[in-house]
Amino acid sequence: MLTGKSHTAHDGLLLIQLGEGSSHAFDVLYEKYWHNVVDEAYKRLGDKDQAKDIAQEVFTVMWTRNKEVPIENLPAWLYTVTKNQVYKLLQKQQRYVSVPDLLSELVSCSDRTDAAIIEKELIRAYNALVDSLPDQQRIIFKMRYHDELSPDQIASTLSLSPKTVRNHLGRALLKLKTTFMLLQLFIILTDKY
Amino acid sequence: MDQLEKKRFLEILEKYNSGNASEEEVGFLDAYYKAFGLRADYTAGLEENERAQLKTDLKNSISENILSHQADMTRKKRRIVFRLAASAAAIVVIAIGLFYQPQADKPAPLAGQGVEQEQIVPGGNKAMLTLANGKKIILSDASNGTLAEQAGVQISKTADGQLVYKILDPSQQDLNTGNQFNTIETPKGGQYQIHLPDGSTVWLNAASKLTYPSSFSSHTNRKVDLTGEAYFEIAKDHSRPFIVKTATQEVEVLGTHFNVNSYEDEPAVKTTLLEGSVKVNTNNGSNRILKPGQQLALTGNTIHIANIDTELAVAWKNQQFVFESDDIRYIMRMVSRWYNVEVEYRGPIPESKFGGSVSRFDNVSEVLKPLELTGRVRFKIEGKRIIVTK
Repeated sequence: MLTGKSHTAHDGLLLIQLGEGSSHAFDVLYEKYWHNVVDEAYKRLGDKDQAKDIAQEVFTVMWTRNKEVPIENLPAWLYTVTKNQVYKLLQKQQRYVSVPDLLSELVSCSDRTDAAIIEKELIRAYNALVDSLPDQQRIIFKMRYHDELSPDQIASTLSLSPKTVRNHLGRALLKLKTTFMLLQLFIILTDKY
Repeated sequence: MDQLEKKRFLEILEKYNSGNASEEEVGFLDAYYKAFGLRADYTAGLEENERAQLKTDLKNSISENILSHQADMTRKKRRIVFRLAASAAAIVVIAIGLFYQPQADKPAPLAGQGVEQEQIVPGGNKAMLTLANGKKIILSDASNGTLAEQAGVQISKTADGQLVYKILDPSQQDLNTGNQFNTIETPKGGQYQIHLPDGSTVWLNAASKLTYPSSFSSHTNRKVDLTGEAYFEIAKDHSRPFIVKTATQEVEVLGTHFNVNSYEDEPAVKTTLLEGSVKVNTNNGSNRILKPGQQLALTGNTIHIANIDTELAVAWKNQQFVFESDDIRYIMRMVSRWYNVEVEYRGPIPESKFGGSVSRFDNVSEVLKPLELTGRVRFKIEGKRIIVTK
């Protein structure tokens, strides 16, 4: 895994040679990291050819990038560039693995010591995302459930159509439900430790 | 619920990919991505040979990708230079316009097309080397004369800027068998100089391909396959003749300098001898021995030998386009191969013969302008296409 690898002094030297156009340096770095990049992409895409395409792109970028900006940490750089390529492809193919599905997958990996940390981080990041809901949605949500106004009342107060209000409420509710479910899962998981 | 979640997720992805995601959205995508990290590695589960195959295939597609990327970059860089040149020209034109009344509009077919001409650039040192083991290596202008060393192959730059690659130790490449072949291939707009393991030197012109054994030591002759055009300076070895095989003939030599032009779009295969002697064996069983200064043209089964100015045949190797009483189609085929452009004829094809010479490293308009000045032919450039009219 790229995240478990550290940038060595030798990597640094090879990157300098790469900057001078050395294809030998490129070959050595490819030899060292090709499988990591393929593996990282494969884990997200589950498809050998797509993983290969991503790796091809990542190493092409490594060769053709503007070498004036040095790479401080090669494994981290490869990890990030691979991630960005994967996310581009996921957007293009409109693919999504749901967060609850991903979390239940993590439960089955509970023999891995880092599984708990990764779960915790995913739940935290997800909650932070929900907390950052657009302001209007948050206000509507508060009026409905805190001030106990009806959707029609909210609509007239905010000069919105009742339909818009209902859409916002629906979305906020869904977020809340998911968060709630995640929290429950989280409790189950933490109970195990 | 899944649909809505998915919709929201894709919205976040879109924002992330366009650089507009919020801090929370980026944080979420990072953690989400990381959560997949616990899945099993793919490559670890492969058999050793599958893994090696994947590694080689991937490397080859990366090499091809880089090569095409570099071609794009060269094009872009030159475009910037031309654009600067074009705007400088515009300033001069404006400055002149302030002081002089412009004369009546004269047709200036090439001058007014700076924008479109930008895309056409001369060729350079570009080739792809495929080693006997299937490994592909890109050979191009290495920066600052950097030497690249592959297993058993050394790539270096000569004083005149030519790139040369040399087999250092053939035994490293094929320990088991001497019967393996390397291929060096130039794209349209590429050329390359090669030092073969026997000490011979080959200049490969654009859109050409040379296949040769990675080591000649175990062979009774030195046989190479050629498509396209190459100039050979063969090291003397009386015990082992050097043979250049093309689709329709074989050229057999002991040690000499000669050029073979066997482009498929040329009507004749032309073998031109500069030094020494060669024997040309055609596929239908005829053979001829050439003397220095002679050119053999093989058209179908017809052999024609003529005394010619050999400088013309090898001008390309000296970075020149030289024509002497050549028809426009022949000239445009050379232009097409070197500048990587399509040529289209509109209306009747000019029948005149043209002569002249120009550097291959000049802009394509430097090649076309003198031809246009004859008044017998006109050119129009549209993107990567040159349109020829009378």
